[in-house]
Amino acid sequence: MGLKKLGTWLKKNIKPIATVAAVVFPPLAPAIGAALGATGAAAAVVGSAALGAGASVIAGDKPADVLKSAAVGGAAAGVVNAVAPDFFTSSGLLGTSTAPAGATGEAATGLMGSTLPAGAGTGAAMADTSIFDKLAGYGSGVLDFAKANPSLAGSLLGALGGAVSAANAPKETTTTTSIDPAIKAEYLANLERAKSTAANLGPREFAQPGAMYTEAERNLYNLGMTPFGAADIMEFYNPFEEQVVQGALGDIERSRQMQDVADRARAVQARAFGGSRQGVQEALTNEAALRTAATTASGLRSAGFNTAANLGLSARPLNMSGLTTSLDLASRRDARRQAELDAMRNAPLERLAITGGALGLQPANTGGTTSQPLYTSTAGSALSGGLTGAYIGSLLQPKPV
Amino acid sequence: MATAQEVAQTKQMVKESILEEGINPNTLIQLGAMAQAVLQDTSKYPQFLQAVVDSGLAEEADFTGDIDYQIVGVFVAVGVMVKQMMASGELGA
Repeated sequence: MGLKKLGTWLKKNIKPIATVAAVVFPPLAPAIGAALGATGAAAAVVGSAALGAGASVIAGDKPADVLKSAAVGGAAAGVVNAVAPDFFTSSGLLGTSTAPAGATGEAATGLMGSTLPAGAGTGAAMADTSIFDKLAGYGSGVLDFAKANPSLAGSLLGALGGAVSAANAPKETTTTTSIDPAIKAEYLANLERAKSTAANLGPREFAQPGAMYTEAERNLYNLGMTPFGAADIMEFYNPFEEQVVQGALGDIERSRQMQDVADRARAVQARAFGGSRQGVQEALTNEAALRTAATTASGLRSAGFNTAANLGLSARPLNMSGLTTSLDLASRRDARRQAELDAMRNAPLERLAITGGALGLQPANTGGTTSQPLYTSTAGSALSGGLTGAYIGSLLQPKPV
Repeated sequence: MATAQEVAQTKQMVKESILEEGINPNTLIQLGAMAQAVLQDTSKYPQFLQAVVDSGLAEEADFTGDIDYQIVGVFVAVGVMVKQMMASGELGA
């Protein structure tokens, strides 16, 4: 009883919704299981199987797909190890309408091409008697359920198989690491070298400033601390200035004397020599000569001072720059000395770094092998395979008309 | 077991198809409620099938044989998803 022909919307969405239904509404699977008559923990498993993991004949799936879906057991089951998914596509299973008469185990034997003895549940479970013992009390019940609910049995049995597989799955991993004795010895030797180096490592030495540096530093300091003054200007006075001035004054005096002679000659010619007029003329000539001499001398001396002062001002930064250059050169010499001291101190550390680095190198991985423990679920595989075979056999049994 | 991402993708697909097909979300919620009622009382299954056909989501129903719990479960899940989407505003009433 169900929907025979789906509308477009339902046809499109039924599979994906069925896939997530149990997650969207967690109480759904137990509710369906309960509606089917299952109780307790089995209700969820039965309900999940009924949801069919998204495969449905009415949704247009092939019968093989439905069986595959059922075999993987809906949301609760893992992959059933004993039944490969392509098993269901074989013509021996789906293309045959008749099946060998007899027990379910025989049907499974023929279909699966295995050597399961009659009564597949018993034969398969012999691989793990402890599991079988536990299931012995449920075996007939499971087969009865399969007969009563053929549409659900496949998926439910798949779920049980998956559950057993999950129970036997590895829950922890063990990793063992070993070290080559030779490498270990080298490592320990290096450790000893490191200890020794650390113990003998002295404090860092600092190079003392050289004489060149000290002198340049002192001169630069003194120059910086000395204000610009007369001494700086005096250094640039023209040493011939006085001669120049005296020369100029001498020239003026000679000119005055020549003028005075000329004035006297004119006074004689005018018969006024010794008169007051001559006296006035002489005084005028002398006054002009003195004025010219004073102006010339002061001009020369002023120009000399200004020139010396300007030269002194220009010389100050040049002197400082020169001293700075000397200081820089001295610093380089001292830095080289410092590098020598550092190199002597770091030599043991460099030797240790080389041996330590060599220990960290990864040797070539040639000829190595890796093994990993293999866990198998014999009971789960056999149980699920056997019970699935039993279910398939029951499906193929001739039904009474 | 489906992942949260698969659930989100399915919800998105359902929402888009509802909008494309012009299906009334309230109809899906009602059918979801009926499907839940079927799980409580299986005798309501025929009415549920008829309601699905009447809503236009299926064209024909078979009223003989066993209950198809997959159909019931799908409608329960659809009802829950549509309710959630309407509550979150993803889907209008």
